[in-house]
Amino acid sequence: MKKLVNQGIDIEIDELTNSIKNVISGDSFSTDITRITKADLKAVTKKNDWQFDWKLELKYPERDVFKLTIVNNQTIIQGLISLEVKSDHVFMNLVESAPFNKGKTKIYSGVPGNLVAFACKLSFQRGHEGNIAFISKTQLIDHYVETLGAVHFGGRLMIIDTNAALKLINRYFTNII
Amino acid sequence: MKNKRIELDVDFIGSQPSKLTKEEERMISEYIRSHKAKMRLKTTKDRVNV
Repeated sequence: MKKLVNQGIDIEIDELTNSIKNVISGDSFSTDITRITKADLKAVTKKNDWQFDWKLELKYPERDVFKLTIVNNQTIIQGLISLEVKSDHVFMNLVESAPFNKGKTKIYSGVPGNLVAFACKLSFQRGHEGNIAFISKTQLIDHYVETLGAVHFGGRLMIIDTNAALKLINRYFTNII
Repeated sequence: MKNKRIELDVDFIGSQPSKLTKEEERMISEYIRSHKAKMRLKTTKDRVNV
């Protein structure tokens, strides 16, 4: 994507792109992001330590739910994201890593970053110049500013704007641009 | 120069039910509109300075 280079966007990649990393072995695995089906959500329950009711997200016709999986292993969900394409941006309703990718004992790192970068890519594809909005908990605002380049502009609202979105896409999806 | 980046390290983002208020939707659109205007102005200035 030569245009990005010409605009002087300075990025640095610290992980293999479009992949997640096994935190113990250090091995990286290429990932796919695909739309989820009802059948995929059979084991995605609060009983199985998922935080959110993802079946509820599928009931909103205006929302799209996607799963992150390792290439050639579509049955094991590594993380989920719920997105809504609005008139001028994409709203990120929910993101969640699979229970085995949470906390200090997580198996793979890079799941939420991949999912957010995917949301940015979708925003460009839908003509919204990469703009993503989401709601943050107060204590995580600084973390999102630092890791996503997001802007906090009042209350609980945050935005990832065009420049920050380009950086995230370049960081996580360099191999397809 | 290579700066160390910090990886996004959260288990989840958002809450349920996740519904924006009308005021929040207005604020987001206002921000995006204003940001686009700034970007356009910057692009114009950059072209003039070349």
